[in-house]
Amino acid sequence: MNPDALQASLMATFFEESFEGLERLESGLVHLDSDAGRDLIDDLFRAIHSIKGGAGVVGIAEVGPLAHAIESVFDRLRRGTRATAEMSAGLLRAVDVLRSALAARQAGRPTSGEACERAVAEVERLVGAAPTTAAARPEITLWSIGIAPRPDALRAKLDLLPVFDRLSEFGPAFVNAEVDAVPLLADLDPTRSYLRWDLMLSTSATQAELDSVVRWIDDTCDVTVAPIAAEAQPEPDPVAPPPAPVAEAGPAAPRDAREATPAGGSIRVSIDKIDALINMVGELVITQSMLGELDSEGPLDARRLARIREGLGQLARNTRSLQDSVMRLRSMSVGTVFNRFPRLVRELGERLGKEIALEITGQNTELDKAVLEKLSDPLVHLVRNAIDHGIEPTTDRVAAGKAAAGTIRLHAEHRGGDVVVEIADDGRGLDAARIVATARAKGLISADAVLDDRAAYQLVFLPGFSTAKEVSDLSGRGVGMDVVRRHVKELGGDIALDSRPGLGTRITLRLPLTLAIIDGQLVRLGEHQVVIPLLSITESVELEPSRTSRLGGTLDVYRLRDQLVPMLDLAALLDLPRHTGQRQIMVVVTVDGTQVGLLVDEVLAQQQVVVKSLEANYHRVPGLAGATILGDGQVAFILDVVALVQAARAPSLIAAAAA
Amino acid sequence: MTIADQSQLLTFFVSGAEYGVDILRVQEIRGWSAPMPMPRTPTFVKGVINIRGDIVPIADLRERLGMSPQEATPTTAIVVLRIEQDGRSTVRGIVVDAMSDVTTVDAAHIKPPPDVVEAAGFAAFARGIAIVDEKLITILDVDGVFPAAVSNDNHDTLDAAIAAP
Amino acid sequence: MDPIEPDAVRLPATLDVETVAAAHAALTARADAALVVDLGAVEQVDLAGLQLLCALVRTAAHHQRPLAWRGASRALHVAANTLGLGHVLGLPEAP
Repeated sequence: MNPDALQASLMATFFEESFEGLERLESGLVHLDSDAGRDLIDDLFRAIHSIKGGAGVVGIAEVGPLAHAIESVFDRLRRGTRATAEMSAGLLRAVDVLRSALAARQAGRPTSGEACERAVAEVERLVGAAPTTAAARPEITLWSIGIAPRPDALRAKLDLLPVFDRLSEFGPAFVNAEVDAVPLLADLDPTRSYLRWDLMLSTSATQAELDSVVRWIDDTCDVTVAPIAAEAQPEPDPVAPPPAPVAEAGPAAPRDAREATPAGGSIRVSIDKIDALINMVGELVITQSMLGELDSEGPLDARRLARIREGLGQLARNTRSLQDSVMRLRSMSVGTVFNRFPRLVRELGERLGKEIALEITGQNTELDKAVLEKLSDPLVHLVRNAIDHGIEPTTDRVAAGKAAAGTIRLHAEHRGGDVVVEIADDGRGLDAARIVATARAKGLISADAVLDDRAAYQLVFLPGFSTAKEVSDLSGRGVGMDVVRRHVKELGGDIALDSRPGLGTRITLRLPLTLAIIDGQLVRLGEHQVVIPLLSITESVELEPSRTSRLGGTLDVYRLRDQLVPMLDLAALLDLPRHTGQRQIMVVVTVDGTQVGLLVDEVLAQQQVVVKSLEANYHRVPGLAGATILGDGQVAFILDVVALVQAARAPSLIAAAAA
Repeated sequence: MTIADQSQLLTFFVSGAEYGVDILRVQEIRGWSAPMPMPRTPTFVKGVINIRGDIVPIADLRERLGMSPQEATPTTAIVVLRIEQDGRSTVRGIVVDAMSDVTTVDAAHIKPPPDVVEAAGFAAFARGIAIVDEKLITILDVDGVFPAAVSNDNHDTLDAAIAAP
Repeated sequence: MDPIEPDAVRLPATLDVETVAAAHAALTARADAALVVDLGAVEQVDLAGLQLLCALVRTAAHHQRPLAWRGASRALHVAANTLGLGHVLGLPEAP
């Protein structure tokens, strides 16, 4: 291995192990103050220690001091210093900084040395302050910045973009635009200003710093800059200013790391799965030798035929289980995503002053890695919703005779061929009347539409349902349930929602186990593209006219080495316009052990594609396994090669060709 | 007159005649974009298009009404509808020559389709005829526009395919 | 591929306080029917332009008229999202 390749491979391993270590730190830190057992502390110490050591080896020196500072805290804990909630919160923030720095390096971007230095200082402060319970939190304040342009501001060419850009550099910001004052077109004076904004900003910046920015626009706008005191923070009542943005500070950070992970990536495979594979291969070898023994001299009598048939049956079983095991290599337990939630629930709950218990079940349920990665964001959104919206303030819960602490349940299980993931809360449930009113106001349903509660709940999935107001009060992310549904649908799954007033809300995601994503070969037919599953392809051949011949007046065959391969015009099989001129490329697929050539115009890229069902809006089409959406937004069908060729009555023709 | 006695129609033209659908069933209106043709489907189903990640089948209303197909023109539009079929809610599109208007009609002004319409084979999806400002608008039952699931393997096409080099 | 819309109202490349009155007039004239608004050309937009689009969305919702956007540029997306208007407008996905 040459030195560059060695370095690259070292780096890859380092990043993979470090991100894993950071995950371990993150999930461990959540329990640090409540359950600071020696084992946990030792484990976390080892995790940060190997990151520190690894960073030195691969030459990422700038994270060294921060890793060292974190390690020192665990060292102090090992020697008996008591862990506090402040400490675990501070360490979680430091872990985020470390993760962003590593993610930046992995993506080839420079790391922010300044952020690391600040984090080191904060961690050192933690240790200093550890014995006392006095808060060592950095002074991050939630600010509300109200901007009301005066009526003539538009004519004065007010530009808010640089102001908002600059403000959001101070920290996580959420922009809440107030559009209710904008009149209908008929009454609109288009050069008069009606819009207002309320910008929620979570930052350690001072009032003077914020004032210096908003001064840019105080000649055309009435601006207010005011901190929102933690105590005065209102409960998330639908019209109150949103508390959500504060939560952006913490849990948002891990996203950067994951986004920076290259799409190809590698996965760690448990020893169990490898052992299972080895066993399977062992059985294959046994079957092979059994079949081999039968291939000896002597007459092919009935006994021997029976043995061969038995052997072939065994071979088929072996192959199928081998295929299953290989597919299972791609799967990971849902726990890898669920483990992020204790921290999110805890932090968000604390900030909203809600006591929330998180119950996680079925975390060992496995799902395809790619599906799992794409599931993370929708899940975060749904859990945030449950915390923000679902769980009532403690006083309301007690008044309603419910337990003071709310419960959010995350559950996963296999059901049929699918994986079901449920997010349930025991909160207030959805308000059907309010949903209907909102949908009416937005023109999504007619004024006289009559909906029962269940039908009303489904309205939240409509595009355009969530308003600016609701976005702020939901999750601060700016995504609505329609986006969540779209993400789930893109994975070939489905989403359902059920709610009981006063009892809670349950959202059920149904996701395909493994079949949602296949490796496909993209081919071109005229102006269209089609995906052939890579598994069924043996080879692609550039046609030589001299090797083509016609049998029986209808069937074209190709002499491929010593075999005659029947050729099928794929465009015609798919009812696509017939192309003039001979197709030049033949993709050879294997159907029932026999080779068949599919004629195409061009063989394009190999890529993983998400299989979408045609049944969702239509019905099954014989010969098609589904469709996918290509990078440019075009639809491409995915072939069901077996059905396609069988439907073409190929077996009899192949027999004819072989004869 | 109460609002319940009225309904709003989105109207459009197909081959010079005006048709309408219940506006509450309309999800959106899109310009023409060529769909991916689908094998083994009736010819009036032109194929599927991508609408925000959903694979949506598109039917040409001209051909569904028994008229000869026509190339897309600058006014050709796709009306995307929510359609109930086989007990499921689906999203499907119909191709029309041009959009017209949104019209409010009184229930009293909607007549059942005359027998002659039935003779022409429209019965499956003509819900009635509305008379608005002396114009006739055929109200479509959108759920009937698309064919129910078919299991016709269409061997003729396949035989042709195999025969073709 | 740029499909031509039926009866689409096409807004100009610069949708700002200088041009917004003309766009307002064009939209008002058509606001009583189902409307397709082509934003494909709009590259420069200011608060006045965005406010006009907000008014259009509110008007369509108020009268329960279908309203479809066509081809919003990245610049328009950035401006709308930065100003917290992305969800009010519900622009189509960026090109």
